[in-house]
Amino acid sequence: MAEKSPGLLDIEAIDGGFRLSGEIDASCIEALASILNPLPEGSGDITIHLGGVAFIDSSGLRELIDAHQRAERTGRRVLMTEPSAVVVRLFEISGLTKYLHLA
Amino acid sequence: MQTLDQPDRESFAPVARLARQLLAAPISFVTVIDALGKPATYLLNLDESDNENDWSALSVAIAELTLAHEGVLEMSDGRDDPTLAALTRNSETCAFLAQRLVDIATTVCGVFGVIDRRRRNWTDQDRSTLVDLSGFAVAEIERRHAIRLKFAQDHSTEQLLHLAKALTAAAGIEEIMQRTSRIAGDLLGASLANAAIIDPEAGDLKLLYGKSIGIDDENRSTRLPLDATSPLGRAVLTGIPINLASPDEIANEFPREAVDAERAGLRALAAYPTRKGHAAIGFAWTQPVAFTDALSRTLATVAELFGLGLERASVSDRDRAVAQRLQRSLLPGVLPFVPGAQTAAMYEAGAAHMEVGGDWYDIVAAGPDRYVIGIGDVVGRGLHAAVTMGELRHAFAALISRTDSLAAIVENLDHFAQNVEGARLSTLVAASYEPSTGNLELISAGHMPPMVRRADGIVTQLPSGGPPLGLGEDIQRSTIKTSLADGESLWLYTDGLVERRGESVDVGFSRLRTAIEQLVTIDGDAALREVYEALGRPAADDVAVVVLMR
Repeated sequence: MAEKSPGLLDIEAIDGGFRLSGEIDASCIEALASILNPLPEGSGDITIHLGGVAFIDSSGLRELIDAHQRAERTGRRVLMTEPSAVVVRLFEISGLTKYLHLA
Repeated sequence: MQTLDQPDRESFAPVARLARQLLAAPISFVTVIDALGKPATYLLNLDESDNENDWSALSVAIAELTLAHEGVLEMSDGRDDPTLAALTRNSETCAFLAQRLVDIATTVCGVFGVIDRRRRNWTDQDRSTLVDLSGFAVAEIERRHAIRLKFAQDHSTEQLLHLAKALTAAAGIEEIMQRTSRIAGDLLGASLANAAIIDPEAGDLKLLYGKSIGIDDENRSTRLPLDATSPLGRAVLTGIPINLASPDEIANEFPREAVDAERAGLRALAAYPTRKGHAAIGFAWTQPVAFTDALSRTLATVAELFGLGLERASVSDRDRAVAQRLQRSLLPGVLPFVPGAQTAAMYEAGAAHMEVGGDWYDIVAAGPDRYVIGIGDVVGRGLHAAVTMGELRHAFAALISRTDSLAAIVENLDHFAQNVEGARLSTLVAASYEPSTGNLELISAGHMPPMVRRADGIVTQLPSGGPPLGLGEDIQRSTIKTSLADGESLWLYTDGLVERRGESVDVGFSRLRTAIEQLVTIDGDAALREVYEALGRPAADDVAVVVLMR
C-alpha cells in the first residue's frame, strides 16, 4: 500500500507503522496527518522509518512531535527509526534528540 | 465540513487580535451584509468585564452610520452624537474608527470598526492600519460568500465540498489548477483538465495544464488565440458550455482540435466557462461520454469553483501585501541604543507567491547594564502566524520588565506557548547582554545556533539548545555563557537564512560562517546587508537577522 501524496513525500505502510521517504514540507502535511492523526489503532509502539527522508521543514517536524505526544499520552511510543543524516541533524539543531525516541 | 459555512466570530478573530495589538482598541466589530442585503454585526474583542449587550447596540449604530459613508468614518468623542451618547451607558464616552467594506465586485459587503472606551484622537497611522485590517475582513467575507453561494445548490457532493475547501486554501493559480485537475479526474473520470485564462495585455488566452495523459508535455502550447476555433476559446467568448461526446462531434465542430485529440487518444471533450467569463476549463475523456444533465451540472460547478479559486488567488495576492506591511509594523521600529555596541536587525519576507511567515526579533533595555535580545520563529504562515508572532514578541518584552532571570523569561514563554495554540513549537533564542563587561548569556529553544565572530576573525557556532517552546513537559534548558571582547560580534538569525532545500543545513552554516568571516565593514547595517546578499535569497522562507557588534 503505497500512497503518493501531491508533494514529494512517499508514505508506505510497514509492519507496525510507516516508512516515509522523499521531502516533507507544508505541501504534504495533510497526507502525513492522515496517517498519524489519529495514530494507528492498537497498544504497541508505532514505527516511523525515516531512512529515506531527504528534507524536512518545521511543519513536518511539528507533525512528528505531535504524533510523539499523542502516543505518550496513551502510554505508547513513536519510534523514529534509521533517521537519515539530514533528519538527525535537524533533530540535533532543534534540541529534539533527547525528547524523541530515535532508534 | 461545517466550518465552511459558519458565520461565526472565530474567522474574524485574527483581525480583531491585530486590531487590539496595533490600534490598542479594546473593542472591534465586523458587520456582514448577507445575500438578502441584511446586515449582521458581530462584536469581536471584548474584555471579560464588558457587558456584550451594551456594546452590541453601540456597534450596530456605528455600523449604520458607516454604511451610509464612503471610506473611513471616525469620531473622537461619542458624546458629540446624541444617538451614540444615549447608547454609551457603560462608560463615560466612546471613540470609534470604522470603514465601509467593499468587495472585489465593488459591492458594499459590510463594515469593520474599532471602538475605544475613552475620548481619543485617531492618528493617520491608526487610519491606515484600519484600512489594512479592513482588507482582511473583506477577504474573509468574500471567502464565506463564495462558499455559501456554491452550496445553496443541490449537487454539493462530498468531493465538490472538498474541492471548494481545497481551492480556498490554494496559494496560487498553479495550485488551483493542480487541485481542480485532480478532483476532476477523481470525480468525473476525466483524464485531462486544462484551462484558458484571458490575458488582457496580450489579447489572447494563457493555457494552463492539469494532469495530462498522452499529451506531449514538452511541446504543448502555452497560448491560445482568443477566437472560436478551439473549445476553450469558444467557451470563453460565448459563455456557453461545450460538450463534445464523441470523436465525430469533435471533428465536426473543431477540425484542428480533432487531430490533436485523436493523437492523444481523447474521445470526448468539454469546455466550460467560469461565471465571470474571464476563463474556461477543459475536460477530456479517453472514452465517449454521455453528457447527462447531472454530469453537465457537475462540470459547470467545477468550472465555477475554479473561477472562484482564480478570484480568490488575486485576493490572496492583496492579502499578502497587507500581511507583509502588518508584519513589519509588528516588529520593533527603532532598536534601543546599547552602550559601547552597535545593533542592527533586518526582516525579509519570503519570495513572491509565499505568504508571510512568523519570524520576529526584539531588543529590550532591561536595566542600566542589561539588554535582552530575542529572535524567534513561529510555525506556520500567513495572518495567523503574524498575529501569534506579535503576541509572542509582546509577551517576551513584558516578561523582561518583570524578571531579571533569563531562564524565568524562557520558562514563562514555554507556558505561553503551551496555552496559545499557534505559538506551540515556536523556536527562540533569548540573549542577555551586559555592556560594561561584554558578558553574554543565551538560552535556545530549538532555534538555529547563534554565531560569534571572535577578534581574530574566526566565527564559531554556539551549541544547540533544548527543544522548541510549548512542549508541555518540564523541560530543563541549559544556559550558554560567553562574552564579547571589543571588535567581536554576536549573530542571531532564523532558518530562512541558512536552510536550502536539497542540501544539509551544515552547508548553510558553513556558508554563513564564511560570509561573516569575510566581512570588512564595521558598520552593523552594512554588515547585515553583506551577509544577507552573500547567502543568496531563499526560495521561500522569510528571514530575520540580528547582529550585536561590540
